[in-house]
Amino acid sequence: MSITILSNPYYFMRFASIAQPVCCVLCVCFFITGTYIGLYNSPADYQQGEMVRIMYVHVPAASLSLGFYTFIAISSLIYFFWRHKLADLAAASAAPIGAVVTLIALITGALWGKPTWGTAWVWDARLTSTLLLLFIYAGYIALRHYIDHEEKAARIASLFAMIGFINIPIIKFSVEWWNTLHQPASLLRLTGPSIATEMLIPLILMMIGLVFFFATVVIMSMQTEIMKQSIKRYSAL
Amino acid sequence: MLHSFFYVMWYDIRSYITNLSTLATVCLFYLSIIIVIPFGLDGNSTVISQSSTGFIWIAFVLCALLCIEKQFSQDIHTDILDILSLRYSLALICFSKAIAVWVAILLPLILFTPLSAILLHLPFSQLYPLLISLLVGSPAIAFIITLGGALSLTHNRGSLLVAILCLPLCIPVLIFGVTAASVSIYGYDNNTSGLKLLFALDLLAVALLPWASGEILRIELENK
Repeated sequence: MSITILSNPYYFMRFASIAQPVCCVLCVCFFITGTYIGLYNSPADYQQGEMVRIMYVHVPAASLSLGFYTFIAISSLIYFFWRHKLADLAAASAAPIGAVVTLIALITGALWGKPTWGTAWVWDARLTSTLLLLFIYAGYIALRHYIDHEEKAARIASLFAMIGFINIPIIKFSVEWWNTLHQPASLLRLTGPSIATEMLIPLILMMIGLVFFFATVVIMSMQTEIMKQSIKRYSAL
Repeated sequence: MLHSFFYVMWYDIRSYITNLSTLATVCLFYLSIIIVIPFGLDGNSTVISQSSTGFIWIAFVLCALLCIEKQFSQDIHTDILDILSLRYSLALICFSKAIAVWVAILLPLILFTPLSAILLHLPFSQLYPLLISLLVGSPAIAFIITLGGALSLTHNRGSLLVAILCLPLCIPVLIFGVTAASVSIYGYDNNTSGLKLLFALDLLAVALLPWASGEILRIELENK
C-alpha cells in the first residue's frame, strides 16, 4: 500500500480520523516540553541574557514559514500535473497557517531586534525577503478568493504558488549573499549546527511541535472541506 | 511556428506603435517619478546622486508594471487568442508577446535613462553599468508583465491585485539589477556577479514564465 492511496478522499478521511488526534497530542507534548526546557532548563546567553529565549519561537516560525511554503509549492505541483484534488485542498488549507507563521516570525524578530540590534526593522536582505514571502502568501490567498470559478481559482493559484517558490532559495541564502545585519544560518547548514546542545534541544522540540501543529490544522481543515463538499453534493441530489 | 511567433510579435509591436498612448503614459510616468524624487529628498544633491541608480531601477519596474493591463486587453475582446491557440501553443504566443512589450515599451524606457540620469545627477561613469544592467534585467521583467497580463484576465476586479502579485516577482530582478548597476560605486569593477545573476534570472524567466502564462490563458479560455 503506497501513500498515493491517500489521494482517495475515502481513505484519506479514514487516515485523517486517526492521524489528526495523534498529531494533536504530539503537538501539545512537544510544545509543552519544548517551552518548559526553553524557559526553565536552558542556559541564558552570555551576551543577550534571558532575551535569547525569543529564539525558541522565532527560529521555528521563520524556518518553517519557508518549509510550509515549500509544502504548498509541492502540493500545487502535484495538483497541477496529476489533478489530485486533495493536493489542492492541502495547499489551500496550508496557506493561512503559513501566512500566520510568517507574521509570527516577523513580529518576534522585531521584538528580538529592538533590544539586541537597537532597531525593530531594518532593510536587511533576510527581513525584506521574509516580508515578501508574507506578500506572496497574501497574494496566493487573495487570488483564491478573487476568482469566482472554483477549479479555475485552484489551477491558477497552484501555478502562482509554483512561480512564487523562486523566493524561497532567495530567503534561505540571503544571509550568505548579502552580509547585512541578520546573522547567518546556524542550524540547517552543511557543517552541522553551530549552536550549544542545551539550546539546540528545546529549539528542535519547538520545531517538531510546530510541524505537528501544522499537520493537525491542515488535516482538520481538509476534513472540513471534504465534508463541506460532500454535503454540497448530497443537498444537490 | 516561427511564422506565428513573428506574426504575434509584429502584430503587438504595431499596435503599440500605432496607438502611442501606452508608451506615452509609461514614459511620462517614468519621468514624473524621476522628477518627484528630488523633492522627496529635499533637493540634497549628494544623497540624490548616491541613490540615483536605485531610484531609476525602481521607477523602471513600477512603470513596467503599468503595462500589465494592456498586455492582453485587446486580444480578449477579439477572439484572436482562441483562433491562435487552435494552431499554436499558448506558451509561444506569450513568449512573443513578452518580446513585443520589451521591444515596444521597455527599450524606449531604457533609452530615456540617460535623461533621467542627468536629472538625478548620476555620475557619468555609472551610466554605462546602469544601462547594461537595465538591458540585461528588462527581459525578465517583460516576462513577469506577460504573466501579470494573463493573471489580470482571470477576474474582473481591476489590475491592482495583479500589481501586488507581480511586484514580489520583480524584487529579485531589482535586487540583482541594483547590485549590477552599482558595482563601480564600490570600486570593484571586476565583480560581475550581479550581471551573471541577472542573466540567470532571464533564463529562468524564459524557461518558466511563458509556459506559466500560457497555462493561465488556457485555463481562462477553457472556462470562458
